[in-house]
Amino acid sequence: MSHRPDGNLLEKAKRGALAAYVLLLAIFLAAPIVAITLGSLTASNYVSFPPQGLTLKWYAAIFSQPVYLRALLLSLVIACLSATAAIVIGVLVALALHRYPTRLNVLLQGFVLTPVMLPSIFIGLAFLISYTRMGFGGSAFGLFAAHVVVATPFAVSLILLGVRGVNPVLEMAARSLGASPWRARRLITLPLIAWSMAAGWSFAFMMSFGSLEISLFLNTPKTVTLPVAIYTALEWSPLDPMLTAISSGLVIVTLIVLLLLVRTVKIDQLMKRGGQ
Amino acid sequence: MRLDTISLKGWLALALVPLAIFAVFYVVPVFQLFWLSLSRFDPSVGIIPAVDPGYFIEFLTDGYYLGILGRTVFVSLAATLATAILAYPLAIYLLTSKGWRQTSLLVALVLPLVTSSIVVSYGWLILLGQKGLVNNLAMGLGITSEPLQLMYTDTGIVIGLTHVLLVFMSLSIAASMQGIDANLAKAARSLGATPWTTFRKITFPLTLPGLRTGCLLVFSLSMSAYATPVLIGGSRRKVLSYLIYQQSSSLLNWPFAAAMAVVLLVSTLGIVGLVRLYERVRKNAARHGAVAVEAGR
Repeated sequence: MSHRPDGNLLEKAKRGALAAYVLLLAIFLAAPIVAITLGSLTASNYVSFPPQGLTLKWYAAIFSQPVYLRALLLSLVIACLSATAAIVIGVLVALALHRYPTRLNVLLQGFVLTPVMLPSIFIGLAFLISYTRMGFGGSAFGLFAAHVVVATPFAVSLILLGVRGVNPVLEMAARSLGASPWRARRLITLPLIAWSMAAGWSFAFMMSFGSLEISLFLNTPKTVTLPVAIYTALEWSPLDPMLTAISSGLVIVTLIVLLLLVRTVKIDQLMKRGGQ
Repeated sequence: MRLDTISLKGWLALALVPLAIFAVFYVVPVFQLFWLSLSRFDPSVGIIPAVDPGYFIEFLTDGYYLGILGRTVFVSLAATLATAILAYPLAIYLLTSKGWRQTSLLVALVLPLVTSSIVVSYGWLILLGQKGLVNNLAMGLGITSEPLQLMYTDTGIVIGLTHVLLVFMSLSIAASMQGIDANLAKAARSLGATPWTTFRKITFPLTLPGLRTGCLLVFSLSMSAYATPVLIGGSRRKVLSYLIYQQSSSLLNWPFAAAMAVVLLVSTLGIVGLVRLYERVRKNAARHGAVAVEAGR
């Protein structure tokens, strides 16, 4: 059928229509983020898109506002620490889930993987209530603990992909040559799942860095993360161009991590695994 | 084949620390929230410990609160429908394209998800306003003569939710499409079916499991979304999560906030559970039906 010239033409037209549709939706998906980034370049004293004139003065203005710099620093530190904790826990959990087919894994899944299924407002409120009673409600430690809980499920799912791809015979060979279980894991398994740990770290980082709801509940004047700072400022002055500059700073950090993530993950592999 | 012998000790060595951390920082807080939802609150006294379903009754009998619950369910259903319709061609493209095209579409889909929800919603604030780009374009193209009211409307909220959650629907559908044997569609075509009939009768029914997963994901995430409905809908079009935050942070009534959070959780997971239950019942019925037919022969 497709050998007939008109059939070929029809196929091509269909492909073209599909590509056009995908392009339109890609524009839709990118629109608000592009609007923030380009809007921050406006020379006018209020946000406008498309921008009127081009300037970087709003980015310079951030540096005269220590509030936002401190919020950015806190967000970065919390995201780095909680992503690191998330992959350490993630490796332990993924190995336990995959290597030991025991009923107890239901408990482990229930404890570690469910935070992502509950509404973040629900979890945020639970953290506020409980952490306040435990005595670290408004502290940076409380914020860190909350972000670890929320980011870990993502790290576990990605590291599980890595662990599933490792042939257990390799570790067994190391064991038979006299290596202890931990030594075999460190020298054999860890290097083989390193890519999934990198992917898990980046995803956990992005989830923590962008998280609004959880941080909103736990925020005090001393523990304001960048998303919370933007949220609070939006209530008072949504059209301040400096806010768009700060927001696009957030976008840039996320984009860098996302591009690193895309480079580490083999997308075909991910799609194949997801389909199974 | 398993490497380690099934020993409790080996499992515990790996799982104990994660279990302890999550018990203290996650499981205990969740239980405390449930427990607190049965307490009472008095502005002058604070939290009064009790076992009293009063706040649940107050929520479920008050038209104001039920109206907000209704809106939350409505926008979530609308967003689910919108993503389901938009996602099919995207899923096909994801599976049939290669290289940078595939990667770019994937990045475009994931971008709204990994960018902070506050930034994405702020972007919509700029685009959807009376003098925003969307209205300028619509009026410039002559689609409308009056600026459309998109901010502070349910339509605006649905646009925002669809935007963030499209990735879940597309990937779920793509995952189930991938498992389909391409020969099935070819066979249908060779027997004279048009491409549309082939899609309707062969491909679409086979993607139903993915569609269902996608719908459940998008629905439950829409129900619990915060930044998108709050920034686009504002205080004029409140949703349940807004009410919960307001009650706990401005009014400091934690027990009532906790009760509403439980309602949110139950209505989200409840609907998801009902769908799962329905599937199981239908599957069982189908099996019994098949057995009955066998026995009748």
